[in-house]
Amino acid sequence: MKKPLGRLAGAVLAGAALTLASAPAAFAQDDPTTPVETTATSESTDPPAPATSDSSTSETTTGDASTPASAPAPSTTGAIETPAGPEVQTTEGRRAPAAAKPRAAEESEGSETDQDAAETTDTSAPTDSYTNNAGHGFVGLGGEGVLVIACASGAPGNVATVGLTVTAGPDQDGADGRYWNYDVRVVDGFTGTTAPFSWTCDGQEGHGDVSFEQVTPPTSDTSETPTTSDTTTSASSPPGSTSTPDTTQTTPAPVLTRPAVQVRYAPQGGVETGFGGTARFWF
Amino acid sequence: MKRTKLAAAAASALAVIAVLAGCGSSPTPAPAAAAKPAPSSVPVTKPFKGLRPTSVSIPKIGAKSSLVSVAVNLEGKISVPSVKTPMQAAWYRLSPVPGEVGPAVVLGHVDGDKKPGIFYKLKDLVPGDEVDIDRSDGKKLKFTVDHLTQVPKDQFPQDAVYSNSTKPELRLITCGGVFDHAEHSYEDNIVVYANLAP
Repeated sequence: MKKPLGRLAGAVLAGAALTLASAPAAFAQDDPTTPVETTATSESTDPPAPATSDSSTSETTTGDASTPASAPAPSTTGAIETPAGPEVQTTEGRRAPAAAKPRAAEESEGSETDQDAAETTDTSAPTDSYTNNAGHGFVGLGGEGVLVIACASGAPGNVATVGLTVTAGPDQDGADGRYWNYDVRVVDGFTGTTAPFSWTCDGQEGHGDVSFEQVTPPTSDTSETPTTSDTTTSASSPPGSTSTPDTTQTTPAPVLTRPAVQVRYAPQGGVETGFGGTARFWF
Repeated sequence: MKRTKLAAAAASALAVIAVLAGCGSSPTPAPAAAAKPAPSSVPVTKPFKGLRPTSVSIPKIGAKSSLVSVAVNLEGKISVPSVKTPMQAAWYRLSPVPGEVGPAVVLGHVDGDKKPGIFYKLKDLVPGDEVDIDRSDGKKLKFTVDHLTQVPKDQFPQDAVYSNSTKPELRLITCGGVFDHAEHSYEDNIVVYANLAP
């Protein structure tokens, strides 16, 4: 009677010991100082079911794990390994030393690196920082841009702007239906570097500002004459609109030559297109 | 007596295992969200209906998705599909329509919701690989990869990605590099540059 229970306890203890032994490596997997190499071990994960009906099938064929000759030679045993070196325990928020993360400026040949989709650690999605009835506008160097209005109850109304003409919209952002977009264009002669706009969302009035990408004035005209007449254009305000920005814009008025740009507004910074923490890259 | 000790040891061991397994795989509950009266999602019933790309397909990596049209968020960054739909790609609609002269921008998640995303294997593309785009006017366009870069997000190459070009080009953007757990974000972007095939 004692023996079976003893065996059970022994097995459980052995399992615990195994888990303890493997845990540090698992925790360190996403640290670049330990070039973890998966060698054709996993056929990756199953492709996730697409969330939308027609966004389908990205098969993740991680099977071929050919490692280029130039890649660090890992010792391969068919499982995730950490090469000899300083043991690194990755914890949340820990960053690798910059030198340990080589980044190729240009990569013309495919750098065969593996990614292990199976590993996930703390990868909870970012929180939703949505604020209803808020808005901001962005105008690019060419004088075109977009007003973005957060209005979860439906399309905003009574959009009124200063120095801008609404050329299209409203359209919902394809990524988040709570956001509405209006295409805008700067009216001729407007030289402000910011402009207010307003709208109504579910009966509530809202106010926002439009940011302009700056065009470097072609000449350094030092005789700045503040303009007192502002091009207050209530752009595309529907009839009956009562909400008009009451700002008076006073800015120096060099004659701006707006370049023809193909990307109407160039977003600043990188693009946030990964939250799962499942991919690893080494270049 | 001995039996009791053995049982206690087994229970302790099980507890250790449970704790260790939880460290790496169980989802960390999202920070308590403040009370938000607005719904967390709203169906898109009035999307952009102008000329636009409708789908992207990259045979080499088996990626195929419809394309939603996105603009920017309130911070002026490109709006991206929900992390809960990592297989959804998007076209940045303030960039040219693919096939027009200029750099058309298409983006997709490398992963999300702990699953691979539509551009999970984007980094495996090499020069000459094919990228197919369908448009709302029925045109089917074929692009070929020219080159690929991996860059830190805080050094994102604005000019290379968004500047004017003299011919129809395509930019495919996703995330890469080290995953910053604190920020729930990768540190780099992968950018694939492609040209319209003759």
